[in-house]
Amino acid sequence: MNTLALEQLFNNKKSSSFILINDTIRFSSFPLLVDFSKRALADNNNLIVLLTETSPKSWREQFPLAKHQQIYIIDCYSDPYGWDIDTNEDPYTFKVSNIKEMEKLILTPIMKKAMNTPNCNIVVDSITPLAIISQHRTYQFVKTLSSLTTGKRFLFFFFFMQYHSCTF
Amino acid sequence: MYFLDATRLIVGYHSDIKLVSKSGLNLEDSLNRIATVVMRLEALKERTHFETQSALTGFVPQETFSYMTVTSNSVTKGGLAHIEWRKKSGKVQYETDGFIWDGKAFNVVPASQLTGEVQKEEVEPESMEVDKKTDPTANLSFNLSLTDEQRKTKESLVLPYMKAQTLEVSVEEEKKSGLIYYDPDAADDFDDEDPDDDLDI
Repeated sequence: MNTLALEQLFNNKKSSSFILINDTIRFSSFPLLVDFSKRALADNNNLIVLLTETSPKSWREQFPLAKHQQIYIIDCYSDPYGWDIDTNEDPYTFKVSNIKEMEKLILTPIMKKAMNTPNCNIVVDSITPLAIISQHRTYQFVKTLSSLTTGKRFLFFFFFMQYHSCTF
Repeated sequence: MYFLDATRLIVGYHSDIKLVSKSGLNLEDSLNRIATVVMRLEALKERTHFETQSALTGFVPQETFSYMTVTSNSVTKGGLAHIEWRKKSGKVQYETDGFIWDGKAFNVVPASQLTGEVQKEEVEPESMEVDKKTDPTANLSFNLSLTDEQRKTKESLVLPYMKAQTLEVSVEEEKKSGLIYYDPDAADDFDDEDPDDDLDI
């Protein structure tokens, strides 16, 4: 019996390096993202999660407590523009204080974490808030993340070094 | 540093939010182009009592417009995932699967199981056999069948103009040329002389 394509994607038995889920208000992708993450954690994979529309607390509640240390959250939801004083003490959560600096404050932490984490799944609950800021930069952002999955390390290093050389 | 080939990226995007682009390029299209798998989610169609009513009375009322339905975001009722999967071999797999929440995890099922649409099996006309037992001419008050003599008479009958047509066909086959048979009427000014006779070619 042929396994259905969605089942193959859930189980990650075949190559599917970059999955883009187009959802609408009629059906959100959040339940599927949670299911993808649960199955990845069950396979002893690590999660790097970028949250823009979901609170870290509600995200972690979806998973068993024993798996929380395998989940590293880039929090762009709680205080995206730095209005509050940062009181974050969670080592598994990186709070972004300025969402507009997506290359410096979002992409760089993801890259650093991904390079030091084996078998990781990068999950983004919604890329739309970044797209509202800049569609072009969001496209480059996603493209850089996808380059992590295809082994095109040259593209990643080029972008990484180019950005950091501009900041000096 | 670990090998990055074991990394997978899963991104959610609200495709119903249309962003204005000065360049005219659509971000959704651009993201779809670089993705390995593009998945589009769809809620199940809401089943109403109108379907039963239309089946009984033939009357189908116009449904009032509602963007959100009872089946919207209902994981217990299930949803559909339209998948476009670009394989490394270059092939693209298109598939629509259903998913339904059973309390613990999503169960992936064929889409027809949730939509109730039965795919009609195509019946080859060559495989259709006439049921000899149910002969429609069996229980008639008049006779439609032919006797042997009647069949022979029918086959030997020569229809009018058939002889002339077969003769024309045989003549054409012998000549194998594109002759035009033209019978001029009384009103036609038919000139036997060749109009191009004076040309020195």
